[in-house]
Amino acid sequence: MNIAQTIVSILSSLIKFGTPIIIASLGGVMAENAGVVNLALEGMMRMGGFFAIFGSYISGNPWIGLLFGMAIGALAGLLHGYISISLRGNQIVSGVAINVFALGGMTFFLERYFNTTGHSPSVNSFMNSPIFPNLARIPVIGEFFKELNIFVLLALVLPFVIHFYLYKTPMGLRHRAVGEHPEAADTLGINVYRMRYFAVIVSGILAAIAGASMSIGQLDLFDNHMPAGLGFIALAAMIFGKWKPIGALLASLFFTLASVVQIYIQTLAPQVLNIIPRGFFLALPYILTILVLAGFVGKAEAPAADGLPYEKES
Amino acid sequence: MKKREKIIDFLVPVLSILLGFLISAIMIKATGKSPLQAYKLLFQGSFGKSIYDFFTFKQSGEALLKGAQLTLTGLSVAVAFKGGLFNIGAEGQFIVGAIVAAYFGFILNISPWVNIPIILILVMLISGAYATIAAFLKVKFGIHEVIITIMLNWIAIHLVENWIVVGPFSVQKYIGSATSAAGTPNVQDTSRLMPLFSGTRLNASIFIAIVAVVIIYILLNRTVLGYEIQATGKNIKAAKYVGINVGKTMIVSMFISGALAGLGGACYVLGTEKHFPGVFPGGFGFDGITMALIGGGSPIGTFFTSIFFGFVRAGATSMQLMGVHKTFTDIIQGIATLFIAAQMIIRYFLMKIGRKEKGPIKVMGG
Repeated sequence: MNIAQTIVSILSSLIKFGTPIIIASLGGVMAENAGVVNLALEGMMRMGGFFAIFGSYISGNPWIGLLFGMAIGALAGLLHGYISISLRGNQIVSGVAINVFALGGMTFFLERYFNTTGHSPSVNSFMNSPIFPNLARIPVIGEFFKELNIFVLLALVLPFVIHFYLYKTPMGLRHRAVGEHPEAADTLGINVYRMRYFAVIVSGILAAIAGASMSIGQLDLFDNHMPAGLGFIALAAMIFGKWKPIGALLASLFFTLASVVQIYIQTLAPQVLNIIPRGFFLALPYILTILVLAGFVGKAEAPAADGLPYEKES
Repeated sequence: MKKREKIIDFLVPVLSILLGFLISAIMIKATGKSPLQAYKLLFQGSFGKSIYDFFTFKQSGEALLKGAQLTLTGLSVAVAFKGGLFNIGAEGQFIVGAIVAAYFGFILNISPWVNIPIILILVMLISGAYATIAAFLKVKFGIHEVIITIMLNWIAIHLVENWIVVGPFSVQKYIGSATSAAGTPNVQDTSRLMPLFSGTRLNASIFIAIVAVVIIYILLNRTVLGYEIQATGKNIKAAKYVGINVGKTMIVSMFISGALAGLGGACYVLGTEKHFPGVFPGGFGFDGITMALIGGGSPIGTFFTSIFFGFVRAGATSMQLMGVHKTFTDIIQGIATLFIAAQMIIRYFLMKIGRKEKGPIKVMGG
């Protein structure tokens, strides 16, 4: 393998494995910028991943699968929104509960519909279906286009779309106002509840797409271990990216790099792992996130009203 | 008025659990199976088929073992709650406790009466210190402890499972590379929590759990430190005003919280697994969160919730006979916790039922 090939191959595994983290962390960005903490990213990814497989299984069409996944994500977001916004319940508790439910619930469905608790059968998926199959035939850089399926494209485009939405549109300004200072936003005539519902439902949909990107994107089945903690990595990436969409994109890629480099070292230079064990590469993103929060690597600050329920004065 | 609030505080978790069972029954029904049959198996699997089974701890021993395990992480989260901290990190502290117990359980070999107290004290110190990182960063830099404890979970998981257990403290390193075993070497027999009765896995961890509950109850309700912890948790500004060092108090309550979660990990390794296994089953810390939440954040409430769910979990294994997977209890637990989060609905209806006078209903937030 020459240098160019290695670089292209690292880059393509970077976007391939980074895709679910990027999309889920954008889900976090959407919810938290409107002031709702979403610890349920992990559970919502799990639901989206399963229902994407289920939808594709019964229809034979991965696009229907994706729609199924998005629908369940929207529902989970709505539930989290109802508890956090309308009932002003504890957002962290609600998030934990959704995660616990998703853990048992998806195992239950897996057994109900596929008679197994391991993984579902293979279904029609977006795995190995690049958007530009012709470009994928180009030597060297073709490898990158081979990985470029619909989810990878979303992961590369959505951060900029959401950046534009949050910082360049009037609605985005309202979105952030609701997360920074809901009382002031309310005084200006912004419907705080409606804005927050919108944010948290979009957050659920994005997390579900992230889950689907694993089940019908990277693979063609749902494995009962999914998403194996990627929802929490996404949460860390959102924080590391300072609650901003492009920051979340870069942080997700950086976190993925740590595990991709570790895989390459394992195959290309295993002796390095004797000096720096695998566990350190895998723990590094979380250690760095703490350092960032403590202000050693530039200060990260959450939206001012993040996690606080809003009660309209009556 | 005070009395009715107390009754409602008690009814909220009871109704949440009942609703959990009800909605889960609907899910079983929707799959074409009989929920009554499933719950009957669940009951028999946890309590045994007869009075004789129950008192010989055939099934109930397993239930109490699971209950003890849940109690320790639940208590960990509950103490932090009392001090106004949300400890999502019980999972990581549990793992730290487990690996510390596995290590000292292996290198110490004196006698059970020496080994076990030394191991448990070391475990509590180290897990407590690990949890304290979160409280320290909160006090010093004002970072939310939820975020830090989530990060600390994954740091513990990766460093322990992908380094210590496969590297410096792997069974291959100590026993020889020929063995196909995974995880760490087994602890010495003198470090083990032995089964109390033959034919059951129930061990002294149930006593450790009960002692922990009693000590924490006394600590919180009968000591100055407990008063300071609760005052800080209830109203941090007022606590500061009366001269409590809230920073120090938060660090202490997080230390106690971490020590308890670590104790859970130690019981798991010394009692159930005998070593730190190659594939560590996760979720103990997250179960602790749901136990503390359903138990209303009090030590006694958490204890009864944990024992109850210990029975549910032990019984769930029997439901597999009719094709309902044992993780089904996660559904019940998850739904019950959702209702705890949404307890305003339950409180609203309870207030409506129990009141005579008219006027707007004031519902306390969770």
